[in-house]
Amino acid sequence: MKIIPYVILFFAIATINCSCKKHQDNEAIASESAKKIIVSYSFDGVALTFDSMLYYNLSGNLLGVSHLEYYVSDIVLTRSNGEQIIINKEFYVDARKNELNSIDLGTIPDGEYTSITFYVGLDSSKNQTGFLPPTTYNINMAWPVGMGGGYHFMKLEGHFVEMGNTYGYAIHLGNNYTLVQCTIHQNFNFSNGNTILKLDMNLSEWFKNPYSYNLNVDPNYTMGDSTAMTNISHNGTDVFTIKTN
Amino acid sequence: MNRIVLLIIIVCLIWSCKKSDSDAGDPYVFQATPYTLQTPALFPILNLSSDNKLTVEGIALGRKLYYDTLLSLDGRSCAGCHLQTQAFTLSSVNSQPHINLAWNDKFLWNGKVEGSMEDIMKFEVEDFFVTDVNKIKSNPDYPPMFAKAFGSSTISLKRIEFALAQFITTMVSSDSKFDKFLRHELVLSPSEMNGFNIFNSEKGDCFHCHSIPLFTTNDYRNIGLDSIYNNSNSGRYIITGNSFDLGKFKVPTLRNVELTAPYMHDGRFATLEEVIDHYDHGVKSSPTLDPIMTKPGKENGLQLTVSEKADLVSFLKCLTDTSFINRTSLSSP
Repeated sequence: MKIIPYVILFFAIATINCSCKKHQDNEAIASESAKKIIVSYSFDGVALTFDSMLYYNLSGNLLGVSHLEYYVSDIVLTRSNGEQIIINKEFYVDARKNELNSIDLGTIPDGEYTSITFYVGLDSSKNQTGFLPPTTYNINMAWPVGMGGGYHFMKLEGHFVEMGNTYGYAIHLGNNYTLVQCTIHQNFNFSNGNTILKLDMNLSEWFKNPYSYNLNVDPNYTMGDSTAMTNISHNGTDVFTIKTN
Repeated sequence: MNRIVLLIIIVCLIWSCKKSDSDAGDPYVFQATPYTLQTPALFPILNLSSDNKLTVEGIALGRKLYYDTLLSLDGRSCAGCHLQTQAFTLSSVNSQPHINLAWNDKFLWNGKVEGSMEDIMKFEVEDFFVTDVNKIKSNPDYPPMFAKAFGSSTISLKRIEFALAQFITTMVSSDSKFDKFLRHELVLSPSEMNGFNIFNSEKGDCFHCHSIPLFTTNDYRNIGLDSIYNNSNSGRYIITGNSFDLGKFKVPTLRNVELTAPYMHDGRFATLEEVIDHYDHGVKSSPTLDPIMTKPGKENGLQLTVSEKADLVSFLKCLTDTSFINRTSLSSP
């Protein structure tokens, strides 16, 4: 196999490339590299364990979580120099699957950032039946045409206990008016080889701030109930924080 | 320095271009005839195994094996429990239908096998049938078919599984009356349309588990068939040991559901009407009842009218694909 000449050729070209660079004028170029967001889940500071009736929301409901799927879209990261890095993409997230909790930001600049914003859900230009590629995940998130079309923005499902009996809850968001905009004004750093932004979703926040959602009183099934979905969507603006450890 | 490097480059280029004796001719590479599976409109993008690419010869071999009783030690074949006229199920054994399985990654009622088509075929061949390759070898038709499909006449369990996986992958049903409606080729009757609206809305709420176009979300759900569990109805719990999985079973496709009676994991319902009656007023509560089943006001079921139930049945019958059950390429060779 004639690999030897190609190996020598490679190193020869690399040598020329390096020597040429030494003669270039020094130029400040922001380094870039592939970055991603990794999401973790908690309930008021306690790491979330699925299928466990362990958590009390602000209204005192004892509950567990069995399903959590959602879309993240239109991510905007702001650098310390004011430049905005816009990720005009849509990401499906399944909280129970590690491989679906990583959001690929692509190659973006290293350095200091001061904020991140994104949607939980899809804005009106994207929330249309057939907009997303027909993957298995996307077709299972479809919102019926007769109910407005587009996609579920989020499915949060599980069980809760009321008067000693166990019931289910299915908190679904969809339709444009339930789009959740999350904004985190906090410095974070892609430096010294750090390529991961860790976000944490505190599921307790879906049930509070500003509305204390009580599964004993409010609908345990939100789809089709605009008041319920609106309350949940308002609560959702601060469910995410940047994890520093 | 750069002149020396350039000289090295030139020498390397000349050296690499010089023919050597070892370059004389490429070795023969076997290649069966590639087969392209057309993904139906609206269906999800299909990710097939790169280790087992579809070929005409592989599919033909799989088709022959599917119908061959040599696959088992006791005279059974795949087709023995999966009749084409019943959309590749069999009422007497309540086998799961072989419909659009290429889009599944969970198999059997309790999800005993998860993964690819090759994974479930490995289970069927090695665990279910306990196939004896010597029996396959005893049929002189097979060695040349294996050679055409895989490049040599060697018959192995893996090649049997791969061929079956290829054939079953081609069992695609996407031309029912409802598919034609989605393609704007026909209109549904008022009853069928009302049934569709019930199916695809809050009223029936069928779409959450039987999403369009596969008519399954391919996951596990507890739909309230029972409230007390034992070995026969624990479902997914048997595999995971997780108490939250009690009573959960794989959501089957509703495509061709008119033909795949009886219904549920144990075949307890003989008709579609009985199935709808279950959802209407027969749901049993338990701690693992699926959250989708507990909509306020419908904790005991959908509470449909007689007319609405009939419309829902009419719609479900629109999922029958006569081209699928008559397709000769899926029939016994």
